[in-house]
Amino acid sequence: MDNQTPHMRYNAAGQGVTLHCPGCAAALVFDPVSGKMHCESCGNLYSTNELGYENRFSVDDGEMMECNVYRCRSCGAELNVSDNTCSTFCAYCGQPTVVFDRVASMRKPQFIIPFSITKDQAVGLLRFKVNEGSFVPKEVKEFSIDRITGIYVPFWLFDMDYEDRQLLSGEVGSGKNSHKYHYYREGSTHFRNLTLDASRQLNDDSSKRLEPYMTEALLPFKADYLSGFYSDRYDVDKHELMGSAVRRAADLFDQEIVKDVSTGCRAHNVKILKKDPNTNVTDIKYALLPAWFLTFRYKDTPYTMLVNGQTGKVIGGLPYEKTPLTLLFLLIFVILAPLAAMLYNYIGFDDLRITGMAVGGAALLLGKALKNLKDIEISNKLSSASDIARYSKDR
Amino acid sequence: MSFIAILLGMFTAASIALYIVSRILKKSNDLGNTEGKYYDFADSFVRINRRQDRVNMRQFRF
Repeated sequence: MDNQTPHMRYNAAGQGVTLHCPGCAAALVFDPVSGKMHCESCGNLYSTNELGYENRFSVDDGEMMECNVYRCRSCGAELNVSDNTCSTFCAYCGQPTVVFDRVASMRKPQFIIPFSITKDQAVGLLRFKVNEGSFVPKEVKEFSIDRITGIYVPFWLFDMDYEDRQLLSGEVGSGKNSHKYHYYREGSTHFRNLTLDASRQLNDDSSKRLEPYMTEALLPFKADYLSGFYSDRYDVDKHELMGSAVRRAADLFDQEIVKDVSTGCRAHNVKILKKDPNTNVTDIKYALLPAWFLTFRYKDTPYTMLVNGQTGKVIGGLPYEKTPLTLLFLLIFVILAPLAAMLYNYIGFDDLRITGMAVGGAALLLGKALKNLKDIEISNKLSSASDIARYSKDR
Repeated sequence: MSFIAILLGMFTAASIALYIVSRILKKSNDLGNTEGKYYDFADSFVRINRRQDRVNMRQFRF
């Protein structure tokens, strides 16, 4: 402990550390707005240099860091933190403690995007979205947060060169003048920082919706950014995600090629018939990216909404009231049904082309409506799923 | 008015009504249901090195 400063306190094993204010000795937490350590008691801000902290902990001791059980210096409680937690508040007295033993024996993240959205801003953003909602129940609009947790979620960031040659088909024109053609494209691109969530506990659908992160803001990892927040460590190895990364790159690439044929050749219903992709992963980086997890209750069910800790994007499915929805549906139906029936009657059934097009259009809308309802159902399940609530609660 | 016209009218009205309601509900309650797009992960356009339209598919074997 020879490099311990007056502002750092270690646990009994000399492993954990709480940063304390040089002025009033209260615990310090990382402040997303200023990018400095903030004393919530006297309001002072300190850079890590001022605290003599950076020199001790930003030294790169290789790629590994350690995880451990630690004792809280404030209340003396012994905390058994889960394998997947690398920094935590004391669950008993609420003191922020960064556990550097974990930082010494598990793989140290290479990069981090620090929180730039504060807790209050995250709640404000969610409240704004909830109040905007047309069918959100009143109880939800007046929600009170059960729990709000800022978590650094582990991600693997893939850089890769991607090239492909593709044979596509598409239709030009409509009706009797519609013709099917084939198209050939050869192209290449370079993907940078393709984000793949490295935590098994967090649902992939939820983590994908946190995108995009502005990866230009990636900073070399420093443990001081963890102070005041929770963080998770990866439990999905980068090699396990290689296939997912390539599939993700392929999807993005294919969309661009289809767009090129659709817009360039005015073709619709464009499909890829054959492809011959070639990928070269050039770099894989391990990074912690910020997210707020906000939990509220509605009819005894916890709903966990996510807010991207960098961009403020709000993610989740809100519960809805069925009665006003049904009433709106019936109102539109009652107005449109006689009009549509009169129209069909007027068109008649001699020329089935126009009638067929109208019915086809209606069937298309029905398909889109059912897809929308399915999306809403999935989002609702994601937000009310016990695993996402547990993810934030366990940390 | 024929029975078929009434039936088709009801089907069309129900489809449009359900579509409108689902759109409003999706916008209001399904928050942030988007993923990163191509330009979130790439700095430049896809470089198309060879572009051939209206080709005979049999000439491409791969």
